[in-house]
Amino acid sequence: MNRKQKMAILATELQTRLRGRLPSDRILVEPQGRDVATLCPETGAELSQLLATVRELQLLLKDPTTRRTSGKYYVGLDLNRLSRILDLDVTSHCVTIQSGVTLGSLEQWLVIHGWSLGWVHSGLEQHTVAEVLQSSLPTFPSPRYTDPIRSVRGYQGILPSGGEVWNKTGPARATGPNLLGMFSGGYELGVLTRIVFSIHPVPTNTTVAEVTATSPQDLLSLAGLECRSPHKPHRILVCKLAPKRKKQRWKLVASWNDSEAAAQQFADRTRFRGHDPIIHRGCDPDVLEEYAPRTDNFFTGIAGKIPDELLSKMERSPARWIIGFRNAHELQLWPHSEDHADPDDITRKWFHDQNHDVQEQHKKLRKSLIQKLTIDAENTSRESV
Amino acid sequence: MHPGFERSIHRIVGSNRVSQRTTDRQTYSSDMWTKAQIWRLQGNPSKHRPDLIVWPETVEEISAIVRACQKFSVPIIPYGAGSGVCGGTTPTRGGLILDLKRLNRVLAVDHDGYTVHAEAGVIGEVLERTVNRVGCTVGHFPSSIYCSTVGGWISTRSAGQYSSRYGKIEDIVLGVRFVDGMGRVWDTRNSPEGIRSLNLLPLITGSEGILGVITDAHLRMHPQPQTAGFRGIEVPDIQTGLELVRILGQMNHRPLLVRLYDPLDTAVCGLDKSEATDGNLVQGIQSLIGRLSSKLGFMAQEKMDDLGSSMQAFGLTYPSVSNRVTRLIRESCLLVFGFDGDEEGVARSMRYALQQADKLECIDLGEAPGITWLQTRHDASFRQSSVYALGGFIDTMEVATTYDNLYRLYDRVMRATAPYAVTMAHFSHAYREGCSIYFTFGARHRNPTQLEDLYRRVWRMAMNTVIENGGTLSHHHGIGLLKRDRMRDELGAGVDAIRALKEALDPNQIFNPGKLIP
Repeated sequence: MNRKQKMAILATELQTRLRGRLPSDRILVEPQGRDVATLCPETGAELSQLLATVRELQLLLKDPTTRRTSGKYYVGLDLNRLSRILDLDVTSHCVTIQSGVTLGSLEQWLVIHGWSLGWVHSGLEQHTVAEVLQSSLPTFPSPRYTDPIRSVRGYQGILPSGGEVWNKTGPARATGPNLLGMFSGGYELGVLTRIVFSIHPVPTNTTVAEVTATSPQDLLSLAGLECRSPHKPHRILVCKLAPKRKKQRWKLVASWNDSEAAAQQFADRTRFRGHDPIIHRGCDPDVLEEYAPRTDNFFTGIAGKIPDELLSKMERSPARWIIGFRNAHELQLWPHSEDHADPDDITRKWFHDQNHDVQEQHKKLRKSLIQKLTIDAENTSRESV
Repeated sequence: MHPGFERSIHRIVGSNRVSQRTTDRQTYSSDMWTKAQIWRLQGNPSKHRPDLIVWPETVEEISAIVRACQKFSVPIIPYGAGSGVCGGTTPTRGGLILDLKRLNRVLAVDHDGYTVHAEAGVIGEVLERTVNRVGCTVGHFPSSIYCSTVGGWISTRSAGQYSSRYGKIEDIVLGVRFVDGMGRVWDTRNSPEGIRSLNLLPLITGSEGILGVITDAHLRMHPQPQTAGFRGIEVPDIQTGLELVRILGQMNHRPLLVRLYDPLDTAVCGLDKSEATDGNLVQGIQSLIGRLSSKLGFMAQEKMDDLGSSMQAFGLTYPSVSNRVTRLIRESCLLVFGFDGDEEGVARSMRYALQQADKLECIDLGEAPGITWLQTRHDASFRQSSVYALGGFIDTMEVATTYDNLYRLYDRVMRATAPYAVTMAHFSHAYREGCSIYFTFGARHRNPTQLEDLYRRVWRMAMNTVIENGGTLSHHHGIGLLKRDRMRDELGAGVDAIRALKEALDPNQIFNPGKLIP
């Protein structure tokens, strides 16, 4: 039996097992496709049934970052039917949505109602919320609005076993590990179905400050300090520009929403350090367009400060690097959108050298966890205290 | 205990750092869980004793101890300073207490990168003083700061009193190293992004020692603020107070502190310094009952004071009466808040906050209530003994919810617990989306043998109400033994995910058995 025949048999089996339990259009079969079928659930309960059946047939669930392995059979997941905006709570600054909503449509809808997610950028608009949260797509870091993962205030998801996991809507909790850490990095450990995001009022004005220097160190220190202030900028980047007369140039770009005073204070601080800042209003979208990380970038997260060795490599590299501040202690590095990739593979190599052993450990743990989660959890007896 | 196991442990750490003495085993038989205090009251001071206590000094020693425990199937209970209040370190199956207090070094303070690297056993106060020397702060000030450790904070998802400004510990920790149930050492730092990987840090944070033992952590620091300003406001009622909490919690200049006390808690704190009862619940009840009696002409306040402990015991034994009295009085509430930063920024934010308070017809009480709070903020936990001395118990439950649900949740819990315990609450840890409600229950039973049953009943009623009304089970105390049976209500199949994670990291199930998940 060849692969095509086997796929056809599996697709028929999948449809047979779910016949009568789910509408037939929840499973799409494309005879010429690379996957056995595409699952199109409309609710979390439907997804639960679909995943349980997929597990019974030992099929693998494919997500946007899955690399196919020969000899394995995959099913795709289309979350477009899970695309409802369920609730807007303006008192608690939260929006509840299904995870198939695209970020672009959500942001548009929110802006009409006077709200914003804060961290959406043009490269992400076409992606669904589930893809962004579960596929580690690069986002534009924002000290004020944080990032997609940190903006989650509640969620529901389906484990590979079909079980439903949830975290109630709430600002902060101490109820065990934050299981969102398990959902990042693909659909293998579960699929998010419902998300509650923190939202912010649409700003009435934006003030941008730019400072240029010949080396990045002072700009990085200035950016770090700014992230620690109570009035955090909503975005702050240190970018390497194309050299001018063979001289290196770095630029700090920071923007504040509804806080011109904070921008002016920042300008005063930079002048005190001998820089010549430029302040202007309302050009943040241009900054987004030019510096946003591409979704196919390899981008590196750094905790603490950038190691000197890596920074000097970045200085020597011809690539125009962008260093985004998620907050004072967490940075992201990526090459300029026109450079498409890290030409010298600096960050990838550096990361590999630093973390090779850790990565191997993580891979093994992930594999073991997938195995354990696909087996129904056994009921362990409660200990009487 | 297998003699081979004891020999292994002695070989790893030496005899000086192992103890099987009865006094030590009794001491480590529980943390500050109220149920354990009730066991003590009932003459059973160490219901669950560990078999031995070990004080390791290095990660290598911990790794070797774990491997020995794995070989002989001995449970390990990681132990910080023992200030937990949910029974998270109770050795219900005996085993080995791994006391981390000798891992007490602050390994590095990076002033340029504003990070501090500290071992898990460093006491909070020591850490804060160390970073203060270079002009920085960690920004984490739990009321247990004198008796809690870095490792304990992370494993329970602790929150400091300034969490509105600096975040909870999960917002402060940048990475941890931990030893899993196989003795392997993991480092969560520098995990790559953009590739398929588990994010281990949020999974270890809050795991309460069931996945492994945290050995050291990298934490954020912040420059010490130029100045901080505090203020007290008298609000006419709780609903108005909650509106002001929301306004403060959603300001762009993050407030350092926002605390709204309900009428009984306001009586306990005192609206001004002269009335303050320094966090003593029984004095608070007495003060309220006394004030009502004087108002209604039943009894003079002086005479009430003379009645002393018998009145307090009465108040605790008949909570319906005490709670009804509190509701009848309908006192205004105290709200304390503060900002830090540069002087101009603090002044600007303070002006804005006072304008908002004025619009809501609140009364500005000046700095005094804020300063009083600052000076007495660590006192309450040391002054609860009077309740135990009366043969009663006192416990606290901290939950969180969104602003739209706050009053409803507060009201329902107060009504549900009113027949069983004197209950007061304050609202604190204000974030953009909601805040925490911190309930305090005090009760006493005429028959001391029934006290534990009464304790269980109060908690069952309170947790049922929280779950039914959309609150989270815990905001910063964690789960331990106290709340673990309700974790399926809280996380659904997330409990299975935690169990799978445990099986992957601790296949022999030796780490802190019976905690966190049912």
